[in-house]
Amino acid sequence: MSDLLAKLEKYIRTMPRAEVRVVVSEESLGDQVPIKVDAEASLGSRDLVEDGGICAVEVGEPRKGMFTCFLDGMQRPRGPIYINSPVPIVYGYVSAVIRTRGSDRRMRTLPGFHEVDEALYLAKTLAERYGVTIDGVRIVDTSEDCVLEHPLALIQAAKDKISTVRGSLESALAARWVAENSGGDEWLLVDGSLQSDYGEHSNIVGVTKSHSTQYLTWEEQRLVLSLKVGERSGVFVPVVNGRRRPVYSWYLRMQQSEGRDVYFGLVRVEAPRSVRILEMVDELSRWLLAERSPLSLPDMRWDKMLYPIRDCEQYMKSLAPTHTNLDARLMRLGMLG
Amino acid sequence: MHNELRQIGRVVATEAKPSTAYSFNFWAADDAKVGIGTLVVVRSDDVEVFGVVVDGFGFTDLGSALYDYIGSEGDPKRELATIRPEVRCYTAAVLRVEPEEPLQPVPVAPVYLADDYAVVRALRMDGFVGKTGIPVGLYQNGDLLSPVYLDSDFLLGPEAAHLNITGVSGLATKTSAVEFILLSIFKHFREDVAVVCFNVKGSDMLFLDYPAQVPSGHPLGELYNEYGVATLDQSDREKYENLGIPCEPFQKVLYYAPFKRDRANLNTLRSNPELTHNVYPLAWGLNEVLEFTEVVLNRDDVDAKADALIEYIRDRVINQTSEVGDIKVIVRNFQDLNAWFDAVLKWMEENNRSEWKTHHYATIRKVYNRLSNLSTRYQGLISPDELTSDLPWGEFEDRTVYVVDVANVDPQAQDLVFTRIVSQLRQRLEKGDLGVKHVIVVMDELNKYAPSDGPDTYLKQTLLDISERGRYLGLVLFSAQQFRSQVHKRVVGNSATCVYGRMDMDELATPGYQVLTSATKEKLATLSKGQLMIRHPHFNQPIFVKFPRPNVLRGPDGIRMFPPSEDLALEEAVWRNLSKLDGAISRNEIKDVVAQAGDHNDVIRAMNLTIQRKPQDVVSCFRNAIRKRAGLLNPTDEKVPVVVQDPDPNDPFQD
Repeated sequence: MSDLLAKLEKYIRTMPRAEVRVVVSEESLGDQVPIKVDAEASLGSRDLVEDGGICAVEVGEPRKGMFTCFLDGMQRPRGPIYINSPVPIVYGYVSAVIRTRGSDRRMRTLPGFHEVDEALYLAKTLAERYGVTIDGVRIVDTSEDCVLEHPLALIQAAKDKISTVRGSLESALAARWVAENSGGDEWLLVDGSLQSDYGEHSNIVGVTKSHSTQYLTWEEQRLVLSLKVGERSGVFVPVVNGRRRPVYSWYLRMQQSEGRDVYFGLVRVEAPRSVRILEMVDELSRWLLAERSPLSLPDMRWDKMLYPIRDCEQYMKSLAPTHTNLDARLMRLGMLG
Repeated sequence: MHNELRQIGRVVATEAKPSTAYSFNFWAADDAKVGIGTLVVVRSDDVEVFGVVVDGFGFTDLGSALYDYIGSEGDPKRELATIRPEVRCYTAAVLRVEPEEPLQPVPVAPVYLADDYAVVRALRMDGFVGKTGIPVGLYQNGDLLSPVYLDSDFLLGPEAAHLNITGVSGLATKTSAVEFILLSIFKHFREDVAVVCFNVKGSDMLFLDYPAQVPSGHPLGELYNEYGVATLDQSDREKYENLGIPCEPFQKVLYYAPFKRDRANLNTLRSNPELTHNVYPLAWGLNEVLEFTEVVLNRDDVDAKADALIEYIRDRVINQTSEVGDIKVIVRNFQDLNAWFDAVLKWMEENNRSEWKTHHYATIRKVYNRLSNLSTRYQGLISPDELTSDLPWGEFEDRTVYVVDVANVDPQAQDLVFTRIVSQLRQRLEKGDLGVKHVIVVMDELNKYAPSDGPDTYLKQTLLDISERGRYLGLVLFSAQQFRSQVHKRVVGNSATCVYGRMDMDELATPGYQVLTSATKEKLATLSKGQLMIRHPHFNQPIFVKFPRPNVLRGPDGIRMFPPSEDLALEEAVWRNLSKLDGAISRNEIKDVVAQAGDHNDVIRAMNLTIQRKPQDVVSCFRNAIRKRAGLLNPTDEKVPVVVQDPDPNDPFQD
């Protein structure tokens, strides 16, 4: 399944003396590795946009919206592999897709909007110092992302890089979609935050399920966490590291949270920062509420996961090399040493 | 040779549901015309696998019905924003693999719908189509209808033989299927063949020579319209064309039925004057019956002593001059036999003997009692006089159907009819003097005649005998029943070809159907008219086919159009029967002759003699026979065989 690992095997076989060590059951390298900004709790800030501040606003009844395209990405890191050196090499499979929902309400892949990237992530300079120069396969150099020459730090840098590549793939697809659908009625719903400035006229909305970055004050956060189903918070502009992001954002309660975690059913919505979006906040919220059915069960994140996004995820997973296949490949590499 | 086939799916093999050498799973496109029974082809670079779909299952990513309920807020009318993807997977059983060796699990490869050529190969018909193929129906693959053939070597012998049909009653599928297959055999079988059809109930087989639909301008057209007889539709005609079978009824059919108790009217529903031109009496005399005493007599009665006496009568008495004391007797019929018994008993009593020719008085009395009752017990079938009207032994004709109507005859008589006819067929086929090389015996209600439990009857033994030995002789059994599970295992087990119409679920739950998947059973339970499932030695798996409605008038329609005649008065019945010999004779002539007769039996006997002799001058012959019985015989009149008692010159009472 993975040509890249086959080529790596071929390369190793050409080495006169290869000492290969492979780690195949690294649980932390699962598919759900979040991008770094969401991985740890962090604080951001906000600029309030609406007069009422962050108070709860009832958005009205769910309404069939204009979301016709959905974007998601996935990553599947594996390893690390050590070849004649303590420099970790991480295998990374990254994919992003836009799936479209037709008038028959069935999901299909938008032609030309499925991207895959398969590469080995390693600090190239460091590896070369140990005489490891891998040819014939795609290499992503993490040298610049890691200042500490420590295997654990190098692994973390590789993981972060994989997430970055995934984000880039997603951004590129979204940008291309926006360019191709400018002025149209269709909207693109993206899993996660909008990572680029797509322009204030673009029909794009991001839905974030994780809340590791807290943009609001404690009092505002209390109001958000007490939102009822069908209520949204006031609109704000997220500020990260002192920079205003080019989006408007608001929280929306999708599912009843009584008796559950305070974040249950709570999503944060992002859309391009424009007057048009500000006028559409309630409508966009109603569109999102309409996406609650069908439920994404049995996905663990079903309270926040929109079904079409889950569909994108399933599609990508079905085409990705399986964990078993990758582990088997890696085991073969390990046996070469 | 690889044809362009339409790809419809792809083989999937998971750890939970792996491919094996004998079955595989595949998913199919939403619009693929795949269903239970569909033939598919899997093609990889080095192997081609033909399979038949035996099961299907569809599912979505929904983990629990509860998720859907919650997602819809409990409102079934609520429109979901997105339709969950639904995959339709099918399980197929392998029919054939090329190359056959090595036999490996089916590869993960594209799946195609079988076309005509693939159907031929999948069902291994390429070995016999064009040689010994008998079209049995059309296999529907999407919009394509492909002919399916049976191998006559395995249907009519010698490799294997017999056909068994199972299906619920009331749909006319069993009868229609048999009729259609027989029509196909008549058209495509390359050797001579005749059919002996036992009509054991109703009027199912009584209109085989009448079409279901007549062309415009046909003399019967108005009658057909008047009764609103269901016509064949265009799709039926296309099926006939596709299968190369003429859309017409049987061209040559002869009907046989015993008389009623009056021995003047035939015991059949085909008694309308319009239809009686090819209806003949089935009447057997002493000669025919005595061979089958085991059948007609109670088994407890025929002990060794009785058997010895019967054997003696058969060897030394029948059709020869035998002496009883001083009396010389020729026994040609039951009446003669009764006279012979009377003479024997009288001689023993007069001479105070307890034995006659080593046979004890009591044995003779017992056999006399049993045999003399036969013509009464089997009245209508066994004639007390010389009348014998039988199937045309030795003169069976190719492509002819001989229908023996025993629907209104009691079970014992049915037993005798069936046993004797099959016995004759077997003997004649063994000697090669039947007139044809192959005979198909058609028998319905096998549940009743060859049940899996119950007492051993001669009929059951005969059916077993055909099933087990018939194929070597060219004697083939086409049997039908509602419940296959209740038929003797050896009868159905020896049927190389099995056909199933719509089945009862209770029947499908019996162990005999365990080899079928639940989906196949479900399909069998809901088959519509004109659909069959077929098992044949060349087919590794059961195959579903469609067959056209036979262009044969259905029994109930025939009865409505040609209602059976009321029982005719003696004169009228005699005139009707003799008219078949000479259409010119008048009612009055016959009426005048009948008026001269002593009693009813004399008329019947004279009529039978006339029918049997087929004279040039029918009325004269009939008149002579009557006069003879009435003592009015002219010296020139023809002699009628009767018991001959040589005159005793010393008899003091002699006139």
